[in-house]
Amino acid sequence: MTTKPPTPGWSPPPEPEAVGEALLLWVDDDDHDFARTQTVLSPSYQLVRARGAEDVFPSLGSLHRRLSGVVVAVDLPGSVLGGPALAAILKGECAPPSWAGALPALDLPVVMLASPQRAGSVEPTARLVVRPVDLAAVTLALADWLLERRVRD
Amino acid sequence: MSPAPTPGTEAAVPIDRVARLLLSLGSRREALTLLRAAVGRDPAESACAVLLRWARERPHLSPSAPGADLDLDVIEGWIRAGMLVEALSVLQGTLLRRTPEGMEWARLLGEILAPPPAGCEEVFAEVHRQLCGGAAVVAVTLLEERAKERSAMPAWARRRLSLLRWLLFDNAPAAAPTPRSAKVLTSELARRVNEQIEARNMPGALHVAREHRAAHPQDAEAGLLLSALEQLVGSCLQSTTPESLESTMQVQGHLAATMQLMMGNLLETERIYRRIATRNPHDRRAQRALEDLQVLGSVLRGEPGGPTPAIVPNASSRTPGAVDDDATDLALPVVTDAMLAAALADEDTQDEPLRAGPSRGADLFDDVTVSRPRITMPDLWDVDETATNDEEPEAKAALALVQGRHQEALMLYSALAARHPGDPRYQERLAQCIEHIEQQHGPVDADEVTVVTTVPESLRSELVPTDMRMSAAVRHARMGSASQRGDAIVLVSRIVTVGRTAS
Repeated sequence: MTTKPPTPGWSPPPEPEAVGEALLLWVDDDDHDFARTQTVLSPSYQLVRARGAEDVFPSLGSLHRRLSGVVVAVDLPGSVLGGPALAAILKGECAPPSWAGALPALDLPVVMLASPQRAGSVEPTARLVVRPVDLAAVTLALADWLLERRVRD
Repeated sequence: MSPAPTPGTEAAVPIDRVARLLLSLGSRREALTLLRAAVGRDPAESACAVLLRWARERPHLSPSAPGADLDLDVIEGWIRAGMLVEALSVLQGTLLRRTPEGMEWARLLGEILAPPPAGCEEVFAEVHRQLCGGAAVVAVTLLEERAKERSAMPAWARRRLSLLRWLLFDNAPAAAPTPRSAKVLTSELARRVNEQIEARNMPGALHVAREHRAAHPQDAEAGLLLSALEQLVGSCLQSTTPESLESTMQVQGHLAATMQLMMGNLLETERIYRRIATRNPHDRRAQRALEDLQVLGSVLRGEPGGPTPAIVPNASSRTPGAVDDDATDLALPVVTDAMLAAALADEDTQDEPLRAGPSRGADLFDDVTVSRPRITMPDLWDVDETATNDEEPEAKAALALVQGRHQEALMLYSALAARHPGDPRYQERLAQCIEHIEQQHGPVDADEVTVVTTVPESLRSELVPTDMRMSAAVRHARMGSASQRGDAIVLVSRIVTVGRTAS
């Protein structure tokens, strides 16, 4: 990791550390991408993995109070629900399926995750990070959620 | 080398213009985040509020893209001013993020602005809210105070504090000399205190005064100064304790004055306190702060002898229409329907060239004098004299293609293709544009065929032969002579190398 100044004229920033503790529920089927993402986000985030909707609903009951956000891949091969449908349920925009059981009310940012080729299929009003994920993109999407609430208030 | 920006220059780039630029580049989400951050931080950003509403209501449209200075100097200026979300939005929404410097800044800002763990201490949640709200100094003060408590801070919070200290203090430019400090400092004490203030280190100034007082207990001037500084710096810490901060804290009044004081801006601090005292003559704290500031000023000016009575302007003497900086709050500014209608009407005539001075409608979009920037996005959509008022980008692009303005068409279709990556029509049009440009200027580097650089005569000799990539073009524009930089127009959207246009 670098310790040189980001631009000339600045002193070197403090040494990077992997101390992130904000917990994100990361719903994605891609093992390779997930491993890389974990490393990239480690300075600020810890990830809890779910491969599809079937994994998400059971874990929410115990996790939701510890979560800082949910990131859902647009494409979830093998999942009963696709990413957009799952995101809509998590955002409370539509009712969960009966098999999901009672879901806790989530007051969390829900961010879509897509490849560059699939980014255009995401609703323009939805928050989105594009693969390969970086720390700045995730943080900006989460910050936007907070700012939108503030401006609306 | 990127020179340190002059404090205050960040204000030279209107945020709504930058947001429009991001929208035109297809970076819609980043533009909205930028606007929300600006509106949340400063309700006076009414143009941003109008544009935000416009963009929310038209998720598939982009406004015109006026010229705007945009380079890393601007980003660094914003960072130094605490506008961290704004800086990150622009980095993420433009190709600046592809530069090594931009990537490093994005990583650092991404870490600093990351949310705290859910269920953490309230002070950490407040720190995050302040950072996102543009009050980085308040955030670092909160963390400093928390760090003094008995229980240790978690590692991530210590890390956040060290990053913020580095960002705001280690690399803070010296405060602009005030008229006071510019005068001859007649005593050693005054000189040393002034050094600390100009370094924005008020606790350091207090420390110097204490040292001097201990060494010279008979020095009456030192006694006065120490008393004043203890009051002022002490009030800083009281004003920003976690208990005083509500979840939707408003940066106004005493807190605004405190923030200015922490930054060593004594004149601005005094100005805010005067306003407070004008509004509420019974505000003892403001009165006392004014007295202390006068003592401090007297010592720095070499005018010992104690404070003069605080002069509080009569309420009736306030200038009508004066901006109440101390009364700012974080609520969305009121944007009336009339304002919005005027702004939208303005958008309907967006094809008129930007011009300096008074403009039409509510002047919400065109109230800025246009100057020749160093690196500027060309006013592509402002040169179309034949377009009808209600055209969408697609129609504009088609018109540009038909009329032979291939580079402009390429830019517009690039933005459309970025927004609709699955639409083959735009890819076909892009290919047509490239074909035309190649016929005119020679082969285009296919890998990076996404930027159009429009380069003035003065720079063309440097761009030949071609194969110039975007980074090189930008470097030329930034590193060229003053006149070249002033003339250079580099459009960074996705590049088409047009170095051969020189031939």
